[in-house]
Amino acid sequence: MNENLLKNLKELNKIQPDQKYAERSRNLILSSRVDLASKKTEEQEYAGNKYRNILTGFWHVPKFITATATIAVIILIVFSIFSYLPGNETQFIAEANEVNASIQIKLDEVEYYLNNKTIITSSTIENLNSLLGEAAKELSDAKELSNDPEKIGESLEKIKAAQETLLQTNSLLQEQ
Amino acid sequence: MLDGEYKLIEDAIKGEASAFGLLYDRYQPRIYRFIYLKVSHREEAEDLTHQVFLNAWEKIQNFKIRELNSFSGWLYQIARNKIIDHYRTKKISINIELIQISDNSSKEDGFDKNIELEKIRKAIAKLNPIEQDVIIMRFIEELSPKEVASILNKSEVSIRLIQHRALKNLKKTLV
Repeated sequence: MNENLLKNLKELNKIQPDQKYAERSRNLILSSRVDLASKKTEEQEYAGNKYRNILTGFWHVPKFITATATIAVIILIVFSIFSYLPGNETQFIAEANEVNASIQIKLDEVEYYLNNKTIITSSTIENLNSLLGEAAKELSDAKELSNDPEKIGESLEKIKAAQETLLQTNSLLQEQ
Repeated sequence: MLDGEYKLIEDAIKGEASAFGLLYDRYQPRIYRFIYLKVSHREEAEDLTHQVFLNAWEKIQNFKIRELNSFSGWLYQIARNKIIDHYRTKKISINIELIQISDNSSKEDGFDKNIELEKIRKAIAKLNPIEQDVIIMRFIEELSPKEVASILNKSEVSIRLIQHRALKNLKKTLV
């Protein structure tokens, strides 16, 4: 009985899937990854620098966390820039403070829109991502430039560029 | 792990579809058998097998060669999870089809054989899931107790115990 049973169990090894099904399934599976790969490449191209990369990842988590985290990063950079400004550059500090206040307002507005809009299209998200990425990059450059007293002016220009980018972000959200 | 499998897996992880295609050809029949014997329905087995390989292809970057003894072990694990999900979410349907196996025997002998195998298949289906797994892996796929232990995350001793109990239950059902 035992031997016969084991022999019969072995026979079940001859069960085979239908050939046509196997081929169809194989083709479908392998082509699914092609779509996935091309999507991934597009994403990688899009996330050209490390700031954008981080921000791209952020869009996969809920809006609130995304907005808060992004804004927190930007605010952190802004504050660190001003804390590094040399003490004798008072006129720059005054101007920078003004810009800082304006950035803060725009960031608050961005946060408000992100938290209160129920539907945000994927193209808007892409645009926002891009704009916030630019703003972060500009602020990061500004921070580096602010370490060099001779480049304070240039640093301020970068901050203004970031401010402009945030203005665009804001208008984009208002249009939605 | 079979010869050249390591390289195939490495290439598949890098995204080479042809490498994964070869892995599919190698393992699809046994994963299909495993699922078919557990769900007892051809179409559902086809559907679940498709999902197993689709899932494997999408998540192949997660496969850690050092953590599992074999690629097949990983596939079996995915298959087991799919079957659990399947039973959790779908109504169980009964298949009235007889097993069709490719055989060189005459039509009459082939029919008798199919009936006999069908009885065994039904008896396997009456075992509990872990006993089914052990019977299929040990006696149909002819994996070693060590391989089965690794796939089912159990000790070899416990696999031998389950195997003993499963065979006893099978015989009882078939008498």
